[in-house]
Amino acid sequence: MSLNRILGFFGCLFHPGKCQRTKQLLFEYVEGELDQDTQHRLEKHLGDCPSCLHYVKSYRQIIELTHRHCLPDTPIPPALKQKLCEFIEQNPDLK
Amino acid sequence: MTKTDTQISDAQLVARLKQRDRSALEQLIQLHGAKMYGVALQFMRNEHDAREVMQDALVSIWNKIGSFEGKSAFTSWIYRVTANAGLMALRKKKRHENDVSLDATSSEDDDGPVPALRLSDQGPLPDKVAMTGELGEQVRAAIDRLPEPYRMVVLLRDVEELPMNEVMDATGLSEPALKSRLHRARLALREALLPYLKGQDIQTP
Repeated sequence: MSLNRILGFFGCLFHPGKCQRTKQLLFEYVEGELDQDTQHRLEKHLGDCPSCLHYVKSYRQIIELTHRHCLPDTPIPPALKQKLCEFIEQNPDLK
Repeated sequence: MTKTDTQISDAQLVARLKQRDRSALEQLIQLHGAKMYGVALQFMRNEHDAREVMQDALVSIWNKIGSFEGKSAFTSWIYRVTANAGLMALRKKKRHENDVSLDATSSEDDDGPVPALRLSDQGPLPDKVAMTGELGEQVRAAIDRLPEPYRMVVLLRDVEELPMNEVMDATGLSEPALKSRLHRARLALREALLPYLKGQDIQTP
């Protein structure tokens, strides 16, 4: 078991309420919707609890990965490109 | 082409579209068609439906170009238009198929605990072959395995980065329902992709 897991395990034993609260506030925190005081208290807990800190980091990382990897350039098949050009030339809505 | 060249091309493209120069649409396909096609495919998952989405997007771009004020990048704007066309097409398709509703379900409207959403076991994750595969493929595979209503909010919010109010407008979801759905989708993706998160030793608190 790694040091982070051990620290996280004991961290959550010491302050289970705060860890639970982190999970509840995670979405609002990442979206920047928490008031300053709540955000400050949550960040203080993150400084004390490696488990929660890594949890929040991984949640952010998923959002970032989703954005970065889900918009690939996808070459248009030549036949499709041709059909789109015909659509542009022939469609009465495009006048 | 450098970024500045692209910006100049886009500025010229917008000007020509606003002057109702139809050949500018063909140039749009040349310059940005690959990304538009990528967006359309994300929504529709097949070439035929993606083509219809691109056609709808072209008509929208043509009709709405007058309202494009240049406050956001032109590329962001056309991808949003394409994403909206994709969403509309999907909603229409679902109505025909009488499939899963894209609208809110009552359980998502309350502020109670968020039940876990788990991805189906179908798909390439997470075996040894997948572990060595390209991360991007794993991310796309995991998103593909989300149930449709969840995949939709991830595509609109986290992929296209539409503001929450625009996602609410596009999906017809209430704010609590959208937040709940998005949160559940992200947690499911996190669980599916945990083996691929580099340099992290992450656990659920």
